Amino acid sequence: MDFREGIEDPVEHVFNVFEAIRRWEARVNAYISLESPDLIVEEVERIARGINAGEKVGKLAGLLVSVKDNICTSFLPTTAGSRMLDPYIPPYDATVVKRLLEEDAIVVGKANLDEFAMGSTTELSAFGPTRNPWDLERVPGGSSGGSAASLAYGGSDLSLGSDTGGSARLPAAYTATVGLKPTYGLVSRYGLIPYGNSLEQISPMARSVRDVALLLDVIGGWDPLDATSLRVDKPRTFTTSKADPSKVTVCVVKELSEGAEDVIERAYWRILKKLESEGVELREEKLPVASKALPAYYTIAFAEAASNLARYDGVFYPTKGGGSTWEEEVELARMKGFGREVKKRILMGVYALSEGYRDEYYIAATKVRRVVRDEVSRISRSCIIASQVSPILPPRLGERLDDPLKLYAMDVYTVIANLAGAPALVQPIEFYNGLPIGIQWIGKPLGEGELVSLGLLVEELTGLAGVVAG
Amino acid sequence: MMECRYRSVVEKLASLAKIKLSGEEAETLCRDLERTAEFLRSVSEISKELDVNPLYYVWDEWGPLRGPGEPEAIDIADLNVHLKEGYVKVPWRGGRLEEA
Repeated sequence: MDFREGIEDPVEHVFNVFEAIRRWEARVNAYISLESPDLIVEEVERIARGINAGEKVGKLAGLLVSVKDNICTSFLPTTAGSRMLDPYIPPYDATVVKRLLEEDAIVVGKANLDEFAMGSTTELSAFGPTRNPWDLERVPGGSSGGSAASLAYGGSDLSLGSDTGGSARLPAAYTATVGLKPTYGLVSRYGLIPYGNSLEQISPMARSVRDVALLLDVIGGWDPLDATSLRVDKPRTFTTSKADPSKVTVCVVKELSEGAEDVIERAYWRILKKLESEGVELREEKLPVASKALPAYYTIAFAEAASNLARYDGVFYPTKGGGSTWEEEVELARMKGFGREVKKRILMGVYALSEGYRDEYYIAATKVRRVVRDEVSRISRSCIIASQVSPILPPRLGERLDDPLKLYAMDVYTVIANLAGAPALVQPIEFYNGLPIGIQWIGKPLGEGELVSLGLLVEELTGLAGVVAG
Repeated sequence: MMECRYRSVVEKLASLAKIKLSGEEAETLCRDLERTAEFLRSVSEISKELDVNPLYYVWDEWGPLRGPGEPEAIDIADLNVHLKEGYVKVPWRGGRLEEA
């Protein structure tokens, strides 16, 4: 964001971003749709005139934001990465988009994602996979892979992702960017195409902790249009200062610190030891229920998906079945419109909610969620929880697609925060053979400020704020 | 190749979910579902030992996190914002929400 510091002209900045998109986009496929360059230039010229005239401009004036394509925009198609919604143009803007525009941000395009945000690699988009700018043979993580990739190659300044079980944080770790899943209810979900309502949050993403905080402050806060929105003041995390190490306690939870590849585990311990040498107190904790969090998470997510996706019936949305009766029309539209993973999750959700299986699956999973939430709340009252983000480095394209359980296992460390409704920040800590490695910090409800504060300290130690793939 | 033993279950689920499946697709989904169901079932074992109420109010132990002042009672939204001449404002009834 150089121009905000007086180094770069806002119009020049826009052309630099355009140049990055021109260089990378054909290979990376971070965007499903892009805004017209003429409109963007027109808008940034208006903003530049305002800045030059000394007028008051918004907090995001002239910044280019990519918006995940499951967040509604009335001025660009919103497909959720699915043929079912191609080319759906919503009649309204999501609350978060309205708030961006009110602060003079410019939406540069809609970012690619796994269909309906169901995936961990961004290979399951109906519009083709997104590739990782740090290694084009590898995935950027998912489902907000388009958002993360656009940031990683400099094709946007800020991005909105969504996070149901790690969908903003896993891509952040795989692309050396920063992703924050807010406390459940802090950011409005009005206009987010639903997948797992009780788990998901729209999540700010950027190349630095400070930028993520800025974006959170703009999009967060109560929204009467979302019944699950918390009645709290707008967050004020941008002005948070770097943590004083002597006042920080980090809890190292055994179950969230083991099981990853050696290189990841070593990087994780290196940064924790570095923090300890700065004066941060490390404390050991246990979370035995963590081993059941993944199946509990997927059971709840599948059940909610089955319910949420029942609305796609070939009548109100673009994909039609061509059937001669209503029943046939619905069945054919859903056959044509949904990809394999989506169909599987719907069927699994119907199964988990069926009479006779409900107690064994759904009710059991909600009990586990309760325990996870209680335990995370207990631990995070007195410390920030350290956790790995992914058990593996970014996999190669296709490597994880054949086995659903391998795909789901990528979320093993991230689903905890969604089940608990707690905020979680992921930031880069190291590179191994050119591939980024991240760390996750889980806080107490509405503890975003503390996460930002610790994130700033870590950024100072790693020097990885603002890195862009070359 | 041995037929997936969940085949009839998959067909029933597809019918409930109103999704038509091709033969090949049903076979692949069947194998995936069999493995996934097994994986998810592991939750039921642990939950038998858990004596907890699955339902909770998210912030019940966290004090007054509901913002300044008293929480407002839930009431019906101002319908005039969403209605035009008694109809729900949707594009095919006259433009975008903001314009209507």
